[in-house]
Amino acid sequence: MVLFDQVSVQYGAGPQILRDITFTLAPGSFHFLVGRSGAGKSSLLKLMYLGLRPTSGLVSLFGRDVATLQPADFPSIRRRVGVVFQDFRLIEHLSALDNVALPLRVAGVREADIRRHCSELLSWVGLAEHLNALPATLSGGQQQRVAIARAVIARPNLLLADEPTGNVDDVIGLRLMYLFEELNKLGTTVVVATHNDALVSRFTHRQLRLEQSSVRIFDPAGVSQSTASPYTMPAGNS
Amino acid sequence: MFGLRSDLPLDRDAAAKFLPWILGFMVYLAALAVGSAMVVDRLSANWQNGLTGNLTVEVPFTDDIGVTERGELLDQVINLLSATPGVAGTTLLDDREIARLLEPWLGAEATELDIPLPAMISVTLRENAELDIAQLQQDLAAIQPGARVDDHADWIADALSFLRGLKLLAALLTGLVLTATAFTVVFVTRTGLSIHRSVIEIVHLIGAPDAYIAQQFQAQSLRLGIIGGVIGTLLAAGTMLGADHLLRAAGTVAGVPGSDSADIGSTSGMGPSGIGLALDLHLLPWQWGVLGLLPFATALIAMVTARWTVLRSLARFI
Repeated sequence: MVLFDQVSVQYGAGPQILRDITFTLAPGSFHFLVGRSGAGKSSLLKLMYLGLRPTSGLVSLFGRDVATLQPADFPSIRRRVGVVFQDFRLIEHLSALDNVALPLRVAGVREADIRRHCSELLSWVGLAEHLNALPATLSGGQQQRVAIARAVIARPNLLLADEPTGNVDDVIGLRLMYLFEELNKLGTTVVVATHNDALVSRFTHRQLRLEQSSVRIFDPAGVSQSTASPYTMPAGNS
Repeated sequence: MFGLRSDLPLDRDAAAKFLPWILGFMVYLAALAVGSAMVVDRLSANWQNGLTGNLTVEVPFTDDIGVTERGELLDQVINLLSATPGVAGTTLLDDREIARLLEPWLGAEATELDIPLPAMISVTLRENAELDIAQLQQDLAAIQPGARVDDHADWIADALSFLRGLKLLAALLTGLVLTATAFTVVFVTRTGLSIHRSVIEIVHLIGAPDAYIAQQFQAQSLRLGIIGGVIGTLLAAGTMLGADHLLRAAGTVAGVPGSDSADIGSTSGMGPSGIGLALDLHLLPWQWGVLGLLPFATALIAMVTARWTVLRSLARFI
C-alpha cells in the first residue's frame, strides 16, 4: 500500500526534515503517527498524498514509484487517498455539504446520490443542522468534522489525518476515532498523525514514531505497556 | 454547461465582472467591421454589374460644325451603335442631364458657359455581351474624329481595388479585435487562477484532474462571452440600421444616390455621380445570419482560450 525506502526530505538548502525513513504500511493497517511538533509529521503525510516529492529515496503508493508518475497520473492516485488537513482546508464559499461533496463531484458521481451520501455522513458526524452552513460560520470542531467527512466520503483506500482531533472535545474525538476504525474495518488503510498521547494510549494500534527526523515503529500490542521500548521494524514487515 | 455548478467563485472576481463589457465592446467593433465588409462585398458586386452593363460614348464637336450637321453626325453614331451586336439600346443625354453630370466639377451653370460640350450617348449592353471596343472606337473615329468609347474599365478597376482595400482593412480589424479578445480572456483567466490558487490546490489534492478545473473557467468564459457577444452584436446591428436610415434620409433630401433620381443615373452609368452605386448599407438575410453567429464565435474563442490558459498554467501547479 505504502512503502518508504531511505526517504529523505530537505527544503532547499535547509536542514533535513526527514532522514532515511524506511517503513511499510500494509493494506488495511491502522497507524498513529506520533512525534513532537516540527518532527516532520506533516511532511511525511505530504509525501503520501503527493503534496511533496522526496529529495532522495523511494516512495511507492499502491505499488507505483511516485518518482515515475506523470502529472496526469496524480488525480487517479489522489482520489484513492483521503486527507484531513491540519488546517482543514475547507473551501470558504462552499457550504458544508458542497465541501463534503467535492471528492464525489470530482469522481463524477450522480448529483442525487451525492446529496444523499453527504447529508447522511454529515448527520453521522453531528452536523445535520449545518448542511448549508458556510465554514466561516462553523466552530473549529465543526469545521474539523466537515474536513473529516470530506476525507472519507469517497471511501479512500488510504486515509491520512493530520491532528484530526485537535479541535474537538474528547467525546467527539473518540467518536471520530471510531469513524476511522469503522473505515479501517472496511479495508481502508489509516494513518492518524497526532500529539495527543492520551488518545493514542486508548488504542492499541501501531505507532510510527518520528524522532530526530527518522521513524521507528512501535507496536503496543506486541509488548506490555509498562515495559514498552520502541524498536525499529524492518522494512516490509509492518 | 450553463447549469454547471462551480467550485470556484469566479463570478465574484472583479476582472470577470468586466469581461462581458470588454467582450461586448470587442464584439461591437468586430461586428461593425464584418458588417462593413459584407456591405462592401455586396456593393462591389452591384457596381460591377451596373457598370459592365453599359458604355458611354462621347462625341466632341468643334465650333465650326453647325446644328444640322451635328444632328446628322449623331444619327450616324447612333446607327452604328445600334447595329453593333450586343447593344441593347442607346440614349442621347440631353443638356439637362449633362449639366447634372458636370455640376460637381463645373458648377450649376456649366451648360451656359461658353465652352464646347461633347454629346454623350449612354449605351446599354445585353447581358454577357462582349464588344470589340477597339474596333468600335475606330469606327466612331471614322465618323467624327475625337469620338471616344468609355467602358469604365479603368474606373471599375480603381473602384474595385478600393473596395478590396476596405475589405482587407475590415478583415484586419476583425482579426485584431478577436486577438485582443483572446488576450483579454487569457488575462482574466490567469487572474482568476492566481486569486483562487489555494482553492485550486485543494481541489487538486482531492484528485480533480486539470480538465475539471478548466471546465469551470471555460464554462464561465463561454457564458460571459455569449452575454458580451449578444450585447455587442445587437449594438452593432442598431448602429448599422441607424446609419443606413440616416443615409437614406440624407439621400432623399439631397436627391443623390439611393433616391429616385438614381434611375436616370443607372441607365447613363456615368461613374461616381451616375448610379448603380447607391451606398445603401442594408444587409441581406444571410449576412444578418453571419452577424448573428458572431456572439457564439466569440464565446467559443473565449471558451477555448480559457481552457488552454488553465491547462497550460496548471501544468506548473503541484
